[in-house]
Amino acid sequence: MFKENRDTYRFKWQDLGDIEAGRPNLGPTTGVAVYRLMQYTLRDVLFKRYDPETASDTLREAGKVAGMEFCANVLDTSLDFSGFMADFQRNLKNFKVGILRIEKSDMEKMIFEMTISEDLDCSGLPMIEETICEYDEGFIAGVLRVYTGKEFHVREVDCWASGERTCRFSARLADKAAA
Amino acid sequence: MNERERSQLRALIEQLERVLRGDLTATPSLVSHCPEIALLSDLIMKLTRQLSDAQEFVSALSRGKLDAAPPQRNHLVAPFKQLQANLRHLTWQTQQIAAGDLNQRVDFLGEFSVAFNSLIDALREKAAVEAKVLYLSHHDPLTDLYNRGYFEEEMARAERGRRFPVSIMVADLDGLKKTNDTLGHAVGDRLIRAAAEVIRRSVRAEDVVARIGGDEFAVILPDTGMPATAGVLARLRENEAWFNRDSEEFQVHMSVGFASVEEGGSLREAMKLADERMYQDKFARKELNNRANGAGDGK
Repeated sequence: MFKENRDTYRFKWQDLGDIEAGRPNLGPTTGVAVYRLMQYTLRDVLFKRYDPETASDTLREAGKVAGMEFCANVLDTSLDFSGFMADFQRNLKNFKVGILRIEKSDMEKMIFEMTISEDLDCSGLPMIEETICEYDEGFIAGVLRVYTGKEFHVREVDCWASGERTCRFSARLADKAAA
Repeated sequence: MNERERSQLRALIEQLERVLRGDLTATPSLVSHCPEIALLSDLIMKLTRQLSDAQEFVSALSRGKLDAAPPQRNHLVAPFKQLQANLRHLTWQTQQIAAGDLNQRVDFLGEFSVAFNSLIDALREKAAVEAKVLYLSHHDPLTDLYNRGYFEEEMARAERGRRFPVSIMVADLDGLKKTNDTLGHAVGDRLIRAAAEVIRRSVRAEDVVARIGGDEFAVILPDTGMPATAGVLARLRENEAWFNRDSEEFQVHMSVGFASVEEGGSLREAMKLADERMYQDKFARKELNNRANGAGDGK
């Protein structure tokens, strides 16, 4: 399942394997540095092989696949929106991904604004005057896709790496964002 | 360093002293042949601008303008941006609470978090008590069926509604007094609960089943005419027989009557008619019983 050609994404949460059985001594967690080592070397290769837009889109799309699986397997999608967001918040904290805060939610227009502080991807990075959390953008879009059944366009408007110290994301329906 | 450069340096020192006194008036960069002085002047000008922007943002925040746009790429305001994010999230949480969501928790504002979470706990407790009081005011504690008060409210609601024909079924539990007298009230209570369960199993979830007296039950059946209500009665008799087949402690026997009304009819009249028919059924069952046993005491 990992190496053959494919037209559609095949990743499933179960592909993460039985971590408990596989790591009886080291356990299920690792350091942030290790995660970033993988993400930023992969990013480096993507940006070298492709143009920046393709590389960013690739990261965003991978984040979306991850977000969809995370939502389907970890979050309680039967809750109403505020209960669901509290569950999302709790799980991001438990998994030590970041501290999520909702700043605005308009359920009619499906517009959400949220911040993630102590973000796994970027908090503490050197300043580069650019937003860098494309993977997070996709991740949030994937979570919202599974919960609402609708495609979302999520963009990072503030980022630690751009000097803002808190990542802020704006999410709106994809068809509205394109209009 | 020549005299002109010394003078420029003094001007820069004065500028810094003004900044420290809180005077953030913008001053133009000095033109100097000394690159260090030019750079220092430039940096003081940038610092002054950043402090001024930060002051404007923090001041807006202190006035409660939570949507104030923070100055971009300004590290001086980083903790205040975090505070702004926290306060905006808190605002959102409060809106959710106002909409009835009591699952919000705060864990990012120190002592305030403890106070806020205590407030939520108190609100949740109050909501639970209110729900319990509401439940008790509508239900019979012995059977968990609705009580007479709620039944009458529902009857009035059904009369105003559009789900006609509506039927009313009245059931009276036979032999409760005898059970209480001979086997005790605890067994009598179990008999009442068993009869309630027989009725509940025989009707739909949307029907309103109530215990309206010590041994009396009534059901409102919306969208149900006489033939369908006869079907409900047949189901009740089946469930009664099914229960009695397995019960060793006591038998459940109920006298039942029902009546239906079309739109515009009075449910109170239907209730009265169902009650009369229930007594006819009781009388007929008693007669049958007497004939079978030679003599009997019925209720």
